[in-house]
Amino acid sequence: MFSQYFGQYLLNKGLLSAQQLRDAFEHEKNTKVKLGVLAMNAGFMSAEQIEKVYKQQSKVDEKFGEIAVKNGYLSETQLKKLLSTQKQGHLVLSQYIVDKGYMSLTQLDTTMKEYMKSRNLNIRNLDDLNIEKLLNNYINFGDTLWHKIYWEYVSLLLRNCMRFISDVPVIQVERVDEAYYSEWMVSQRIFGKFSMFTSFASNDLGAAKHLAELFNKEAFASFDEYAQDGISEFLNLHNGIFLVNISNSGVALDMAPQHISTCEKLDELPECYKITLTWIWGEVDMVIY
Amino acid sequence: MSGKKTVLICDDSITSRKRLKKTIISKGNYAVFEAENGQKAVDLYKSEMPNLVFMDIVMPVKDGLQATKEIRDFDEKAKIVILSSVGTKENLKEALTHGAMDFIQKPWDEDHIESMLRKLI
Repeated sequence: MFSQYFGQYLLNKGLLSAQQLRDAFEHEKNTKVKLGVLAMNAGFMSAEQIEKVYKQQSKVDEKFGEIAVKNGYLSETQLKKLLSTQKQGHLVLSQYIVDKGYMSLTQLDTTMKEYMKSRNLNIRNLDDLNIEKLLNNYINFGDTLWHKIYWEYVSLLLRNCMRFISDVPVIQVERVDEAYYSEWMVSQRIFGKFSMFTSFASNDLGAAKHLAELFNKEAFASFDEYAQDGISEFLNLHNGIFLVNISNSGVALDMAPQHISTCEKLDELPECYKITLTWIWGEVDMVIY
Repeated sequence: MSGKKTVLICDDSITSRKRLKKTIISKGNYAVFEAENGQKAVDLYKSEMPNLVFMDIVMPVKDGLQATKEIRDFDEKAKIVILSSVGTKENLKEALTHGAMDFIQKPWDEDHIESMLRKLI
């Protein structure tokens, strides 16, 4: 995950564009070895055990290594060894950035040191990074009452991306001061003690189709009714889990059915934020207010 | 449909219905009806009298809790399992009050669906 966080840092600092980062991640993905493959290669786990962990991963909010240790397939020592091997994945990212001329080696080295220092990181505690820490560093919804709620909402979204589509995006948060326009949108209103508009929106229907394919685990010929319904269901599932989490802290909320629209225009709304979710394969927005 | 046990799936998501239908059919000799909102579920229940209903909560036209109540008013022996992403205590309580027999929070897994089929029909 180190590259994910470091990539997010480079994006937020304006040192890489979203497209450059997507290309770098694509390259890294093609080069990086998955933990399961490393475990099998090292003779720590059988293919059957790895399949079982992958299956469980789709049901619970936990990492591969955590499940494998819990099931007794890996010892803590073996996991640490595998993670340190896998950690070298960030070297692939760094090499790519330099090779492409996005940054010089010196510039990259300085930036990496600044990043590690600012996050109080060293090579030994890279694994301590998690989504909450990532969000604390990069997400600011302003000094408003909504900050904590939005923060919880987006933090859960990232965890749900990992859980349901196995691909965590890099995010950029932007306040929508003027109108927001999108070619396609699915929205759902949360109401009760407070009211909140939530939505997935996209001007890149190819990316929207791919998101639906990852969620539904099936291919679509086009961004048809089934693909659109897939994203709609992802939003519904995410909001349902959000409501359950909020209700555990004593706040009862409800939600309305989702609504799909095309060529949607939202006009100047108070406390409206666009969260751009960038994956290797494209971008999808989440708009909330 | 003769000889087959019947299940009604009520969910406004086509993909959810499709996925659940595929799972149910793979678990045995079941025939499946589909409804995309609570009102259609009530109508289909009255005409087909299925052995079991899987009911979503958040839907347009009529929500799943109201539909559950109306089906149970019509047939007090109706077997209804709520299958929703909103598994709050409030919804669980309300579902049971309206006569639902169980509550499964989405995302469901196949084993859970199979155990419901075996337990209830």
